[in-house]
Amino acid sequence: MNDVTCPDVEALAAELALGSVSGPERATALSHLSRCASCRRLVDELSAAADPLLLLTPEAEPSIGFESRVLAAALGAADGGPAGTDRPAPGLSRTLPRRSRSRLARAAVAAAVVAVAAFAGLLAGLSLERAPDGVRTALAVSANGRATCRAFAYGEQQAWVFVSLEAPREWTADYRVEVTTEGGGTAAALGTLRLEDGGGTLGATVDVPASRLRAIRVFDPSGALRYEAPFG
Amino acid sequence: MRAASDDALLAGFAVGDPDAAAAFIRRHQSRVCGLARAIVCDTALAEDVAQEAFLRAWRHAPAYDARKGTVTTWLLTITRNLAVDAVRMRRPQPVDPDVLSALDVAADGAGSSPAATAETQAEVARVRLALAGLSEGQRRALLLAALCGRTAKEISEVEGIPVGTAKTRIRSGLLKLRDTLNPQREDEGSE
Repeated sequence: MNDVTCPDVEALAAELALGSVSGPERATALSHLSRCASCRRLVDELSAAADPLLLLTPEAEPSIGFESRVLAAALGAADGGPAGTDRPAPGLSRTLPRRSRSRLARAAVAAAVVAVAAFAGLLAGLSLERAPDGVRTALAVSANGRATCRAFAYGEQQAWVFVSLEAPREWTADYRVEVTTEGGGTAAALGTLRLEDGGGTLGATVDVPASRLRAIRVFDPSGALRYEAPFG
Repeated sequence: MRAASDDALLAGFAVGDPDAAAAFIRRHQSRVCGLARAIVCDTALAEDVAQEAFLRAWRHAPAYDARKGTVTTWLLTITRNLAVDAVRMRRPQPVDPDVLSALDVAADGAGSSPAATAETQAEVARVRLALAGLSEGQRRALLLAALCGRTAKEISEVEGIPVGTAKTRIRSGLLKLRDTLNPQREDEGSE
C-alpha cells in the first residue's frame, strides 16, 4: 500500500480517527495525510465526532486519597511530601512496564527546582533565561515588596499564560491583565484577574508563540499600570 | 481558587502550581476513573490507569493544542489509550466488551453527573441522541472501536461478522454521527 490513494485513505478514515489502525497501514495512511489536505480534513472531522464518545461512560469516584496520591507522584516530592503518600501503582507497573515513576518524580523535582531557582534569580536581579521544557516565567514585585505578580507561559503556536497575583488580604479589586509581544506588536488582553483573600489567578491562551511574549502588564481598576513583569 | 477554565488549570498543573493541580484532578477524576473502570473492569487497575493518565497529562501538557479539542477529551483520550494498553497486556484477546453494558447504563443518565459542567452535560445529551440514530450494529461497532480500541478484525470476531461488514459499520456509523453532530457541515457544501 505504498501508492496509497485518496479513496484508500477515505475508506480507512473512520478507523484512523478512532485510533484503531496500527502498523504499516497506519504509517502509510499518515504519510498520505501529511500531504493531502482533503483527506486530513475528513479525518479531523471524524475525530471531532468521535472524541465526545469518551464522555459517555458512567463517572466513578476514586478511592479516598486518590487526589493526594496523584499530587504526590507529580508534585509532592518537590515540597517534601511524605514518601509514604506516593503509593506506587503496582497493577499498572505490572501491566505497563514502560513507565518509570521514579523518573517522573525526579523530573517533577527537577522542574520544580528550576522554577524556584528561576524565581529566586529574578528576585535577586539575576539575568535568567527561560526555564526548561519551553516554560517561560515572569515576575514583578511591588516597590514596597508587599505584592508579587508571577506568570508562566508555554506553547509553540498558541501560548498558554497563567498569571497569579499575591497581595495583602485587604487589597480586593479586579485587575485587567494583558500581554505584550516582541517587536512592538499590539498587546493582547488576557482578561480580568480578581484579587481577593490575598490572591488571584488568571489563565488564558493567546495566538502567539510563548517565545514571542515580552511581558505581562497588570492594570488596576483606575486603569493605571501597576505591574509589568518581563518574561525571562 | 474560583472556578477557572480547564485550560488554565492544566497550565497551572503543568508548571507545578499545587492549587491548580488539585483543582484539575478534582474536576476530572471521576470521569477519568469512570472511563478507565468501564474499559478495564477492575477497580484497582482502573485507579492505576487514572493516576498514570494524570501524570501523562502533567508531563505532556505543553503538547496539548486547544484548537484540536477540549482538555476533557484530550485527557480522556490519554486515559482510553492507557486503559486499552492495560487490557491488552492482561488479556491478549479480550472477548466480552463490558464497556457496552456500562454504556447501557449511561443511556439512562450516567455520564452526566451533577458535578459535570452544563456544557459537558449538553454535549453528553447531544452525543447520546446522535447515537440513538444509528443502527444497533453501527453503534456497537463504533463504541467498541472508540472506547475499547478494537480493530475492525477484532470487532468482526467479537460480533461474529465479516471484517468488511465491521469496517462498513464503523465507517457508516461515524459518518452519520459526524453529520448529526455537525449539521452545518452539509449546508456549507463540504465535499
